[in-house]
Amino acid sequence: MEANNAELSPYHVDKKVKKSMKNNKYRTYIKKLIKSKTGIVGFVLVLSICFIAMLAPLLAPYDPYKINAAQMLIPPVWIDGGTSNHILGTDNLGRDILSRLIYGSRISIIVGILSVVVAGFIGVVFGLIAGYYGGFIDTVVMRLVDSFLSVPTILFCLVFLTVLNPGLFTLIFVIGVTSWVMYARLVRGETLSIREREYVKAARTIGVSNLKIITRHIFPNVISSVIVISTLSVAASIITESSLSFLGLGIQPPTISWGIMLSEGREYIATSWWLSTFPGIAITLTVLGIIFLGEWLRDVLDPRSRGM
Amino acid sequence: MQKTLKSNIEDDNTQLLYLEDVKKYFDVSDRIFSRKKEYLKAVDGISLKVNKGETLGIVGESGCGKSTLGNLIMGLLKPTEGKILLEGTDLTTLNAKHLKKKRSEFQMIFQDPFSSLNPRMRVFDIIAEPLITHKIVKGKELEQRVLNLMEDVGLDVSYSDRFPHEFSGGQRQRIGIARALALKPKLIVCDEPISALDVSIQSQILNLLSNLQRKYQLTYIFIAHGLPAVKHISNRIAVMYLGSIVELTTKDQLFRNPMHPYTRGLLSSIPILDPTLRGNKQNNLIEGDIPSPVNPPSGCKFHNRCPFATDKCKEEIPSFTEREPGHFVSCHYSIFDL
Amino acid sequence: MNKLLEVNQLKTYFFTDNGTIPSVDGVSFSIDKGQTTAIVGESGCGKSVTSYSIMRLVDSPGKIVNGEVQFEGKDLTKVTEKEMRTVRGNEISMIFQEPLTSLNPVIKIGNQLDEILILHQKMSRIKAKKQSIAMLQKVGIPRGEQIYRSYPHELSGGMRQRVMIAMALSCNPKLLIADEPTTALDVTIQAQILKLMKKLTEDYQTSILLITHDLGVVAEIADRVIVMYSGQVVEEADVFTLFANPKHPYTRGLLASTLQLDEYKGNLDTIQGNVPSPSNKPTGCYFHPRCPVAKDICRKEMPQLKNLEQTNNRVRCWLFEDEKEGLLHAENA
Repeated sequence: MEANNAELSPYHVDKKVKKSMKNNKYRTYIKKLIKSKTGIVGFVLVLSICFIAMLAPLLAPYDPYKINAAQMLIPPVWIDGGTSNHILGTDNLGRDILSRLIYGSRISIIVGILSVVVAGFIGVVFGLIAGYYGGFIDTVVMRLVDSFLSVPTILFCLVFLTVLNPGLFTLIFVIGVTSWVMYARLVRGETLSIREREYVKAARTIGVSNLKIITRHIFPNVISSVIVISTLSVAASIITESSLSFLGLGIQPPTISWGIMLSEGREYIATSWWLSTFPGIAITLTVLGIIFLGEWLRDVLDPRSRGM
Repeated sequence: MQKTLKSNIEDDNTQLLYLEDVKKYFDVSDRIFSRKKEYLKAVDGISLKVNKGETLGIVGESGCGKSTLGNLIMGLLKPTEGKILLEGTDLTTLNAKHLKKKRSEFQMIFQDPFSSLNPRMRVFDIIAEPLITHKIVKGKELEQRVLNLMEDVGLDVSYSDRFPHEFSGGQRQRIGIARALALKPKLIVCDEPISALDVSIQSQILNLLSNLQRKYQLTYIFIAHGLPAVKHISNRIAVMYLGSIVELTTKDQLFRNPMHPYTRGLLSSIPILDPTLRGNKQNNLIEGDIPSPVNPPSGCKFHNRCPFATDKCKEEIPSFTEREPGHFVSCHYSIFDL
Repeated sequence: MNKLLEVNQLKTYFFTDNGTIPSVDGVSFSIDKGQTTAIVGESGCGKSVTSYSIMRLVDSPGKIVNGEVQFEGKDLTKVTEKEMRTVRGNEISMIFQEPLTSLNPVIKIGNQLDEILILHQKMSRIKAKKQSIAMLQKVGIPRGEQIYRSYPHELSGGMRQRVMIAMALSCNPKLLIADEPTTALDVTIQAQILKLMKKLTEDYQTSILLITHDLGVVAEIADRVIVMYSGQVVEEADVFTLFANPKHPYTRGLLASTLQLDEYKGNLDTIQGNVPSPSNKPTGCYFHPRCPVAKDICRKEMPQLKNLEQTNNRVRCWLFEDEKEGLLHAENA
């Protein structure tokens, strides 16, 4: 076939060009990030919160646990009575709010990420199995999902947390176990459609085992939507953590989390608004940042938007 | 006609594949509100034999069951009834382990080159997958085999680490063909392999398929919805309508002397590349829609669209009879009487 | 002046993150009243984008960057969006390849038909219903009353395409753009639809712009044919000349490789190589890497779309720059 060379010529590249093409792929990711303004905002927000969490001991001006009876309920610096020693003021026990916010970010990040890992793992496994095998297994898994969905997540958490010992890892486990249904539904749906693709049929005609079909042909093709959903659900987990801690069922004082700060500030909301406002703002900014980042990821990971 | 086919089966070692009264019914009954069972008769009693080294074309419009038949042969679906014998081994009764072993002998080429390749796998891995799955070769040898296969189908070997989306439709179809060839199968089921391709690429792929057939003594079952595509490549052609074969004969006989009214209608619906002949064959057009295979018409399934239908056609199912040597037709009447 | 639509130097580019893709790259043609014009080409040649550009339905990141579309004394690329909406569906209407996705699945066929008449013709509901049922009968749907009350999924593919045609013709448009109207249909149904389209356009005196990849369909119903390749017109001729005496090597290749029922000996004729990706066009004549008679100049310079002597027919090929020499060359090849 003399035609081959001509046929392939538009694509013909040597090794060097090939390497630069790989770089190009990352360059298009970055280009897309720069183009999307919300993407940059999200990226910067999330990155800085991660840094703050990691470098908390270096960044925090005070020991966040240190009680100082002499300096209780000092307002932020720009309000009358504020002092530049405590930029965001102090709480009812005289603890520095800025320092507490900085340390509180650690819990939020850890809970957000780890609970998503737990939920994602359970959900993806169940979703893949239900979607691929269908029939009876699918019915059982989906009924389970439905029953989870019919009860509010927060109620589930409440029940679990009152039975189990409250603490960081219990909290992660509980949030994970209660939010896997979202992944299971998503992954099952995608698996159902991918299962009908001809490349899965092709793998079956070759004699590839079911496990290999799931891991090699289906999983890599659902992972991008899982990642996108994960970012959104990191945000949701942070909110759940805050709500549960606010209710006194999540993280237990003296460990600091933004939710605890919110709940501790509740009693003083009329007189000292800064106690609960700043953790509230921190939660909002983090969640927004993650959602923006998720939107950008969805753009980037969509194979249709990926050029050569 | 089953007698004719069966009498051949025992002593005939030119035969590769034999289908005996294969049926596939899908349960489409409304489970909640109705207790009445309703079936979609996708394949409704098909008997066929395919000889070694030949190409059997299967033609029909949507809903005729041609793709279901392909999937049944490939073991992707279990038949409701009937036997599928590949060189005497009944594929429908094999257990999973034996079927997997046997799979290296029959492979498939798919319709849509965009969905038949895993977008996350490199070309090399796609073509190597069958070889790895069946543990045929490893290491350097595997590499060599894959590159040879790429050459065989006219792909530049330097693209082996590309992803499918970097290729055009025709090239993707070549990758799919290389994957089907990897296990050196005896039989390849081609399920509409050219209908998703551009006109100028279709004939390239058809040429490639015939060259490979010659080179590797392949047997093809070539499924298509149009007669022009099967005409070039097939030795024999089966015309399907609503789950049954209505006419089966050699290519030459089918085009020289089509006997079933449906085949005739199909032939005259094909647009001719000559505007001066336009409108010549308007009278032979088949009227009406293809009925749903859930509730096919009684008697001869074609009777409601057939220009020659009589009362007998509405009531009696015509038998599949041999009108001239090797020419089977399922119609109550001879076309010359009509 | 019998021209209904005149497209001049139309350029529609897509501005993607990976660069600019010139999908339609300077296309000019015109459509006479009552005429059926076909644009033929393979995937990515820009035939559909051309039709969407005429309707001004090109979505971002696509943009009409140059050219004009003269329709009834208006330049459709310049009129306001509001004016454009009165043109769409009323004066120019469109039918698509997949009728299932172009009908709203949750609205009854009849209501979808009525809506157009109420919107554009300002008919009353009762009058619209009467007219809709009449339209359904005109497109060969028996039991129009019953279909009027059906949902799209209850109909077969052929029926749906008939409904689409009824919708498109209900306001008696001057131009009907049909984008691969029979590609999703079976051959026996395709033949019915083509016959119907032919009859209706004669009855209604509607011009058709037919977008297709199938030369067989073109031979059946077109009067004039425009062959596109890689965003450009490479040949334009009346249907009889084009099939009897194709000029451009691409047209010839396309005709030769279209599968027919004729006898073949040995291998089929093909056009070598692949359809070029629109973002990566060759230099010179876009067709030269696949052209069996390419010369040196073809690799360097783009030929002009030239009128052939004493005809309206045009071709873009170096073989016909000097017509006599070109023909000789072509025969030798």
